Amino acid sequence: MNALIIGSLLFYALVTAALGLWTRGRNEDTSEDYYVASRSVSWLHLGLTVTATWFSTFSFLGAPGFFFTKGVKWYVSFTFYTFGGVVLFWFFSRKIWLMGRGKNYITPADLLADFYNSVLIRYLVGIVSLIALVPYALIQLVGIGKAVEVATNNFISYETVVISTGVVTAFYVFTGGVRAVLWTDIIQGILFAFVIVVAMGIAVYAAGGLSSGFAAAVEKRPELFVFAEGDFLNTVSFMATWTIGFITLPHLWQRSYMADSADGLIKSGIVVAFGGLLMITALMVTGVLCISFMDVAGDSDKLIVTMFSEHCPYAVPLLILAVFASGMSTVDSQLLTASSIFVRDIVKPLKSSLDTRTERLLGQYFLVGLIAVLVVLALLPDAQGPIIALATKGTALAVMLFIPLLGPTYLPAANKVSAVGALTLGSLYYVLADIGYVDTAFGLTSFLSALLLNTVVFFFLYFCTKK
Amino acid sequence: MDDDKGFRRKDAALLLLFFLGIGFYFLPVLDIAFNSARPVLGIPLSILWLFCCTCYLVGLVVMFSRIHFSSWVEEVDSGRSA
Repeated sequence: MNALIIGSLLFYALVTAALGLWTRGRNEDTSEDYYVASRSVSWLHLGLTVTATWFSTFSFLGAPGFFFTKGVKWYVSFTFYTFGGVVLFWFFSRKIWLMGRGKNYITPADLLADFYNSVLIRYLVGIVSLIALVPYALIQLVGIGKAVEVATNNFISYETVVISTGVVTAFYVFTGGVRAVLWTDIIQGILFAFVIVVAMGIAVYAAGGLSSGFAAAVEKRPELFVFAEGDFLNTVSFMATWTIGFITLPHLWQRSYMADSADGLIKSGIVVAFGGLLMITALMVTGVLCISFMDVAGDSDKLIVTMFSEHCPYAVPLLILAVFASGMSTVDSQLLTASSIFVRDIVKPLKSSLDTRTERLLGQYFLVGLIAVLVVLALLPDAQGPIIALATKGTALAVMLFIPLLGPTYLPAANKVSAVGALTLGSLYYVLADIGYVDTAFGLTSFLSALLLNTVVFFFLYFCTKK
Repeated sequence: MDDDKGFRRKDAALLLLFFLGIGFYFLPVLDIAFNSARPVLGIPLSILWLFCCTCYLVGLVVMFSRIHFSSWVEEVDSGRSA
């Protein structure tokens, strides 16, 4: 079995590396082509890459574990933020796309700094974006490492998996840029969806059928199927973080620039919605039915791997491949976006004479450095706790970009004072509140308090400085 | 002008339906209705309700694309808008 797992992983690594080399020959030697495929991505391709990027290791490992431990509370957040995210995507991303097409934007800061005419905003947005990407990218590596280690009974160590995933991802993103990412995303997305459906089948079979599985789960843990008093704020906080994160997470924002047409952008949302319905339903059924026949003490991220190992060991190699796929399809996009942010938002303002080719080269080298840092971070013991909390922190920071985004999209009279104030205070407050250094407002969560402050500061300064 | 008003009415109707969807989601969360583990069609009621809400939102997403954005898409892709 272990030989089969190693063989399939090696085969998969070779395929993705080959795709990197294949797409390299099709790239134009410009940063616009390297990062946003010259804005030529079709609706199906865009929809699949957004779906694959959105449903990461976090969804694959974290979500069934959350259904298992939190039940219906998790279902409401998970479903709402995916479909609410699509609606927001249309209302905001179509404007982002239109402006990006007209002015060749590549990063979120390109748009915001240009609209507010401020280099300070470019730096602030760039730094917030990088901070938002790191924990989210980190969980992909951690998730893959954990899954393979558990599935192979420690035959392949966590460290080996993390390092080799870093090397393979860095190789195909370095060589092929976003075109390699888009093609690997399609393979990874389809594989990921297929294995989730297989997982649902295993869960239904092991639970003795859908109805009896649900009945046994309710009998075992009835409290997981009803909402209790006090769940409201946490649910709203989680829903808001991820719904808004759907458009403000830098790697998803960058995808808004890639569509080849307005029609493509809108249709891609439908692909995401139906892909989301399929995946969320399968993940929910799997996680909830596991309650009826499994006991996983401690780390719930290992639930799905344990289920495969105990109830369908022959499918473990397929599961491992899917975990690789889900992690890589997110981390590759994040690496690429982070590299574009580093070059365009941090380096370029200091050295404006950078040509587009040098920009691309610099981005490629930064990308390799960043993944080396992520691998080191993933190997630290503290990074191996429950992975969802890390991703939520990063996304919460990215959400602080939402209110300043109202300026270029719906509030043309907004100015840089309000944007700088909102972004700085909102982000700082979130970080301080999250580590418990300052209290949260009105008993809200740290995220909701920070978003409230972000909004109040933005509109207060907007009205104070409005001419 | 009439077309513009019609478009706005459709927008408003769709947004209303969307906010109604959010309201549906919060019925069990706020313990107003459907907050029960009682099986209906073999599925716990709260789960079944949230699944129906999800399908409702997917339906809205399709309606949004056909009704709300179709004129914008046509305008932009035909080059009438920069």
